[in-house]
Amino acid sequence: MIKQFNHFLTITIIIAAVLNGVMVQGVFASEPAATKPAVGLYLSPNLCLLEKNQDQCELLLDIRWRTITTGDFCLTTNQSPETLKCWRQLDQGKLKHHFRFSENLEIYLVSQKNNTTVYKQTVRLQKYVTKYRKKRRNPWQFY
Amino acid sequence: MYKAGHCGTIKLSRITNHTLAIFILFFFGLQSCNAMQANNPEDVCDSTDDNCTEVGEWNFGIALGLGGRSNPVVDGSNIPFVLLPSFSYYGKRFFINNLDIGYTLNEGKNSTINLISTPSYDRVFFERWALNNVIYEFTSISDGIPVDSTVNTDLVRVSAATLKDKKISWLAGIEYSHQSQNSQFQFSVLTDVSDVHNGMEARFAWANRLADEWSATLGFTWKDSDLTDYYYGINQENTTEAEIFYQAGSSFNPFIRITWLQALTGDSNDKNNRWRFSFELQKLGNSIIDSPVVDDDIVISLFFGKQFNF
Repeated sequence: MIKQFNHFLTITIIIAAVLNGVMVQGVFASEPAATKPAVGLYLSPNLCLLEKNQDQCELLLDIRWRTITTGDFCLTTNQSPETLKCWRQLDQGKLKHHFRFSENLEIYLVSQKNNTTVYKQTVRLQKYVTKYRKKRRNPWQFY
Repeated sequence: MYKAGHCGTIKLSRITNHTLAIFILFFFGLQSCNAMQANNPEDVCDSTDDNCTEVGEWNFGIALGLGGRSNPVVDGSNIPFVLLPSFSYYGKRFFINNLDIGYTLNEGKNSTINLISTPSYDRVFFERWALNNVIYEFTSISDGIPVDSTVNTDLVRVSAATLKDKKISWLAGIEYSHQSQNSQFQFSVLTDVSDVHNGMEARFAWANRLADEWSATLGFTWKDSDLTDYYYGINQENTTEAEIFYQAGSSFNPFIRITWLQALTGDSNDKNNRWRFSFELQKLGNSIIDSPVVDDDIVISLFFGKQFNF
C-alpha cells in the first residue's frame, strides 16, 4: 500500500514538474512579443505556400519595424508606388495589412529625410510544384 | 497416391527455397543498383511523358468490354471480363497499382527495383466453383506417377466444398524491371507472407512492340511445390479417399500474349481513353495438369474493350 502511494506521489510530482515546465516555457515564448523588437524590419509570415491550381497568395501581413533613431519613415512595396503608411518622429511602428500577390512581395522601410531605403524584407512565394514519376508497368499481368 | 512428375519429383526444402530467393534478390538488387544512375523516382520523369504520372494523386479507371479467362479446374466456371476496374496511387516511392502494393527502392532511366506485395492468382480458379461435387476420371490424368497401381478408374467424387477452402495468399518480394524504347522485361521473386502455404513464386515477362499498336509478350510463372500443392494437390484435408490423394510438385507455366492498344490521339480531353485487345495463352505446368482437380492444360484469356480513365 505504501509502495503504491509512493508510486502515485512520484507520478504526481513528475506530471506537476512537466506542467510547470510547459507553463514557464509558454511565458518565455510569449515574452519577446511584449518587449520592443530589435532594430530592423520584421514580417510575419514571411513565406506563402500556394496550393495546387493557385497562382495568387492572399494573406494578412503583420509588419513591425524599429530604428536606432527617431525620424520620419514610410512603408512601401514593390507592388505599388503608393505608401502603405507613414510615421512622423518615431523610432518604431507596426501595421497589419492585407495583401494579394503573385510574385515575391518586398516591403521597404523608407526614410523620408533622404528618400533612402532603411530596411528591406521579402515575403517569399512558394509555388506548388507538381511532381511526376514513372508509372509501374506490369507486363506479367494480363490486364 | 499420386505424385507429380517432372518438376515435382525432387521437392526442395522450404529453407533451401528461401535461401535461394534471398540470394537471387540480393544478386539482382546489387547488380541493378550498380547499373542505375538515378535513385529517385522523380528524377526521371516529366509531365509530357505518357509513362509518367502525378505524385500524390489517385487514378481511377474502368475497362468496358467483352472477354474472359478459361478455367482449367474441373467444372470451374470461366471467368468473365466485362467490367475491369483499375486504380492506382503513386507517392514519392510508395505505390498502389490495383491489388499490388509496392515501394520503389531504386529507379533509373530504364531500370526499376520495387518491393511488392501481390496476391497469388491461383485462387480465382476456385472462387467461382459452382457445383457441390466434382467428378473426374482417373483415366484422363496424364503424366501422373501412380504410387498405388491398384487404383480403380471409376468416377470418383470429391467434395468441392472442401476444395473451396483454398484461401487467397499474399506474396511479397522484389521486382526488377528494365525498359527500353520498344521492349520491357520484368522479373520478380515472391514468397508467401500470409502463412497460407509458405510457398514461392517467380514471375517473368518480356514484352516487345511489334508495330505501332501491337505488342507481344512472352513470360512464365514458376511456382514452387508448396504453392502448387496447396492449390492443386489433394490431401486428407480435402477428402478421406486416400487413393485419390495427389501431391503436386513445382510447376513452370509459360505464356504468350498478343496485345493491340489504340494509339493515343493527342487530345487531352480523352484522358488517354483507348481501345484495346488482348489474347493470352498460358500452358500449365505438368504437375498442375496432372492434378485430379484440373481437366485442361491451357488457360486462355481474351479481352476486347475500351479503357476509361477518370
